[in-house]
Amino acid sequence: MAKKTVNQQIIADDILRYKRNKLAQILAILGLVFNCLYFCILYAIPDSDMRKMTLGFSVILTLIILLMIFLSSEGVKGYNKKFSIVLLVIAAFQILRIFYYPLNGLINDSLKGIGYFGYYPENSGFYFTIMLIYLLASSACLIASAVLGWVYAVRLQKFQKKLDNGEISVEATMAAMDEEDAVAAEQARFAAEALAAESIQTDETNAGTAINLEAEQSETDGEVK
Amino acid sequence: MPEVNIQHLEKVYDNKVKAVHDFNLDIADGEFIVLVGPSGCGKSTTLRMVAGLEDITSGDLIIDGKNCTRLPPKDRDIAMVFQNYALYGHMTIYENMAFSLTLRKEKKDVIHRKVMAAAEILDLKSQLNKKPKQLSGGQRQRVAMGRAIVRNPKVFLFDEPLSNLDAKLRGSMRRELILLHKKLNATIMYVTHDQTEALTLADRIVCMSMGHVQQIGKPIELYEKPANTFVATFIGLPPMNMFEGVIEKGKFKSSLFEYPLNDAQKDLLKGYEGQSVILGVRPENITRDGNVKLHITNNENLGMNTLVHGKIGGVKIIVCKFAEWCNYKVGEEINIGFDPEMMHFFELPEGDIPGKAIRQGGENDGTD
Repeated sequence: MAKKTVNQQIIADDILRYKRNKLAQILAILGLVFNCLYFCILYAIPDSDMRKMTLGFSVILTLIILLMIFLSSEGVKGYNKKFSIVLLVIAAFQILRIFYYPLNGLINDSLKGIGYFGYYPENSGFYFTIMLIYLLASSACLIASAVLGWVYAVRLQKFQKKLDNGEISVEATMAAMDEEDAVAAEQARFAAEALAAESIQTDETNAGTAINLEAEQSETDGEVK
Repeated sequence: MPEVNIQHLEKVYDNKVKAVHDFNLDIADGEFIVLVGPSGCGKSTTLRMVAGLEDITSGDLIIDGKNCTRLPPKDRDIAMVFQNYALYGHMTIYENMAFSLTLRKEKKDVIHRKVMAAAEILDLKSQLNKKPKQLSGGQRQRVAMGRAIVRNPKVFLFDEPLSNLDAKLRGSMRRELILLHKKLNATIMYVTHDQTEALTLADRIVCMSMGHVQQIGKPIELYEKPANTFVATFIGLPPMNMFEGVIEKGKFKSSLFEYPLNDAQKDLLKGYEGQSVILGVRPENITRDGNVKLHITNNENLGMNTLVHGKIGGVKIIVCKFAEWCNYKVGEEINIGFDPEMMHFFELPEGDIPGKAIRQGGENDGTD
């Protein structure tokens, strides 16, 4: 991809003022979806003493995480840096979760009874892997969302500061770009006209050559006769 | 070369209802054309045919030299602004304005520059991050216009864009539209049933009734030289007063009064001796001196002028508009006359066909 000019970069930054960070929001929501997929499996683990003791706590925690991810997704959409930190914390927590239910389930071999989609494997490795993937995917999405949110928020902040200090002017930049476009259009027009003129000249030369060849041919024919 | 040529345009619906009859119009580049008429006269249908939202039954539509009669709307390079704004509620104003360009896959910086330029023209820069529901009706309509402006189309089509606004806002939006037209120098086709909008905005007005073009002309022409009784009564507020009578011995004789004609009027009506004609007088061309007795039924003071309603001969209700502040009492009788320069004569209507204006030497009345 061609590198942006200074003017293009200013316009790209100015766009941030009017467009939401939807990519970061989508990634956060995706992280939430993977979290949902994870707890769908989690709550399908057959009864065990471990789950009985912490089930209520786990449900509350899941609800809090869902709510926080959703709120943070709205936050990063609006270029709020604080929510990037929240997302990073949740992402770290998602990784830590691997070492509680999933790992304990694997050690106790209690995950094989989940029967997700009617599939009962011989050991707990299968469902552990799925839970691991969901949690890692959720975590990765949240980290990506947080990074994107942070990067764009900082970029917008810097841009806004420059605007406020009068270091740059969007109006002047747009006027300069309009001028550049007008010059480019004019050059393109000249180039097209020159090309057309050249093509006409070539046609005329070709026609002239054809006439000369024809004359030469008829002369040769005459001599032969 | 005119920007838009409409030639013999007709619309017949599946149920054989003919909505538009033989519509012909040449619109010059940068011209502001207003289609005006009562509800159901075919003005919106005509506009929708130009937009490509209605199929053209017969005739030709040529935009900038290209025959667009059968082209789909997207290929006509036109933009339409609707009465109900048609904004996307879930998008911000910026996104609404940028939407058509995003669909065209224009570069982001180009889109941004176009949207910002349109927002600057329409004074919407501070509203770009809001959603449509957070804006007033006037602002929403400006957004709808902005969405049309960013596309830089050949022709702008407006379908009663100010009808949803209150009277005050409509007035300010009218002024903004005039400024916008001057700034953009755009070719505009504008549909309205409001004659004030038509008179104030248009370079030329197309007055329509029952699918027929009644008159095409500059606003002042429609006001001062209406082509027929329909245009005469439709343009002007309050409408023109009409009296049916006979031309006899240099006088206009109706069952209610007799009115002497001046030399120019006698000359104009010399071919109508003994025939029935219609005399039309605008309320503002009625004077307070003359031989016609008016029995006052209502006196409305509007500040800058007074509307006086009354009956002539106890039957014919007419309205007079006097420039002064008047205090007539109901039941009072006054003498009124007509400004001889502003008396209009028409032939009698034939069925649904309005009575044609009687003009000196068959002068062109603007109808096609």
